[in-house]
Amino acid sequence: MSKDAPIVYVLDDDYRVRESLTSLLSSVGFRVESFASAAEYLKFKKPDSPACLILDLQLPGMSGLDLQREIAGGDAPAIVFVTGHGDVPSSVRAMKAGAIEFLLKPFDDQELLRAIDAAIVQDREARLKRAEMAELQRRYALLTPREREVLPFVVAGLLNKQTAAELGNSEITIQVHRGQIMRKMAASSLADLVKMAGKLGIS
Amino acid sequence: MGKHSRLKYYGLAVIACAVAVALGGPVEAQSSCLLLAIMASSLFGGTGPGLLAVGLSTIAFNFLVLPSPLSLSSPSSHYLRFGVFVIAALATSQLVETKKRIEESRRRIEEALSSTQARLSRATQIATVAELAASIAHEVSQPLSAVVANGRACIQWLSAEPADLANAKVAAERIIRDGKAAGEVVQHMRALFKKTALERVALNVNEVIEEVLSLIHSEAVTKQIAVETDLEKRLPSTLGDRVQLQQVIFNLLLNGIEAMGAVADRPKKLIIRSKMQNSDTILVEVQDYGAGVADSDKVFEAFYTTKEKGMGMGLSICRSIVEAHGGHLGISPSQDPGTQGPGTTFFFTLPLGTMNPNE
Repeated sequence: MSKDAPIVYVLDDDYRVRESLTSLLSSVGFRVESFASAAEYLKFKKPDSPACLILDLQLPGMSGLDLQREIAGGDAPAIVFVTGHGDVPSSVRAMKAGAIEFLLKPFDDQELLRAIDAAIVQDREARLKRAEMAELQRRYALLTPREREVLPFVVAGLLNKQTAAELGNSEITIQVHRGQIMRKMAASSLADLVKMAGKLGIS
Repeated sequence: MGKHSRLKYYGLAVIACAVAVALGGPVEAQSSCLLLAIMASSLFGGTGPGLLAVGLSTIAFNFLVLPSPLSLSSPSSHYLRFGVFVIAALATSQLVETKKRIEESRRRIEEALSSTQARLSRATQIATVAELAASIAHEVSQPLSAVVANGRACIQWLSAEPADLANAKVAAERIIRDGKAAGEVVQHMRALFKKTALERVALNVNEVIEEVLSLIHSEAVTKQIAVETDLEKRLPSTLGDRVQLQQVIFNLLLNGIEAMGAVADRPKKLIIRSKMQNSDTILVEVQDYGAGVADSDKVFEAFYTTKEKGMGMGLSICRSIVEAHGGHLGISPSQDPGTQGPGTTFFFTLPLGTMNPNE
């Protein structure tokens, strides 16, 4: 399978649910990894591919909602919750924390497959965004401290002369810094650089 | 109280005073007899008759007890004796009447309590049923989810090019297995709710335990409790009411689960054991590692509860069921060197194959 082949993680303490979902999802071509507890899932070394996590709300040890909170923010896959007896507060919490879908058992298989597709699309986008961000940060790390000082003035649209006056440098020095910044950030134009600075939170 | 019966009590006061006057002279205890008449009138008649008796006694006291009836020329000691008698008479009538009122209100409270008790025991049943329903819903939906997913998988494997018969067969076998499991849960549930006259049938206690465990599994998972079983394999069968014994075991397990709700510093473990206590008695133990029980005698009393939302009916019902089976329900602190923490063990015994002769 190619590196970009999506992977579905199934986390449910009931072996019948794990078995059946593994069979169903592999029959439609997904790669499936199943786990009986949050600890097992956390221990698993996850490959670098788009993914979706089918998560049972009630688990022994760490609950589904706890796991969602635990892995939030990092490179956690999009989550589809399934539960035997879902209550409104839990579903609200899960959805607010970014879950794709909250399905009640016994769930409709088509509904589950739709939710998984949506989750993988979202995860793929999120991964692209994260990769892009990591690349920008890598480029930004190449800048010298002085160049990082100059960058906000450049993206604010100040002329070299104005920037030189602000920082007490000669115009020619600023021009050199500016050239270095454009090269290191691999910016094709000033507009491009402004966009990158925006993503990095520099203004 | 009707007007007629009220008048009767006033009459009673008059008669009591008359009797006191008649008897007082010969026995030389006029004052005491008058006080007794007041007591009787207050006790049976209440305020009005009581005061009438006080009035009549006072007059009688004046004419019969004092050496000469009160007049302007009487010595002051007569006035003092008269005053003391009046006060004693009033105090007697008040005291007796207060006692009567307290007794009446206590009787009313007891009546109210017993009707509340009846309503509560019904409410407890309903609450248990609601908890049970949530647990059962989960027990049924787990295998049903698996059935649906396996069914779809089976179709997918069959419609692949070429068809994957091996995987399709596995999926179909699982459908049968899980469908049966769901059916069993429904059967157990039906047995639990069946409302029939008490029956005594030969049953295997281990089977009863397994049936209840299948219903309580999700409650334990939700509360993150590991349920362990240690069942004596060669347990002889006993006579009993399956539904009632299920209720007892269900209650004990649920109590154990709830007792460990607040436990955070040690593993939450619930152990159910069955074994032979001696050659003619089966022993079932439910051991938890929860908060423990402070007063092990009180837990079996109706309305005694340590739970915030509990009603204190569960264990008292359990005890009466076990005793109706000729057994005994008891409690002891858990003892397990491997686990710190107090915890509780509930146990009950069932005699082998004999019925309680009183039943």
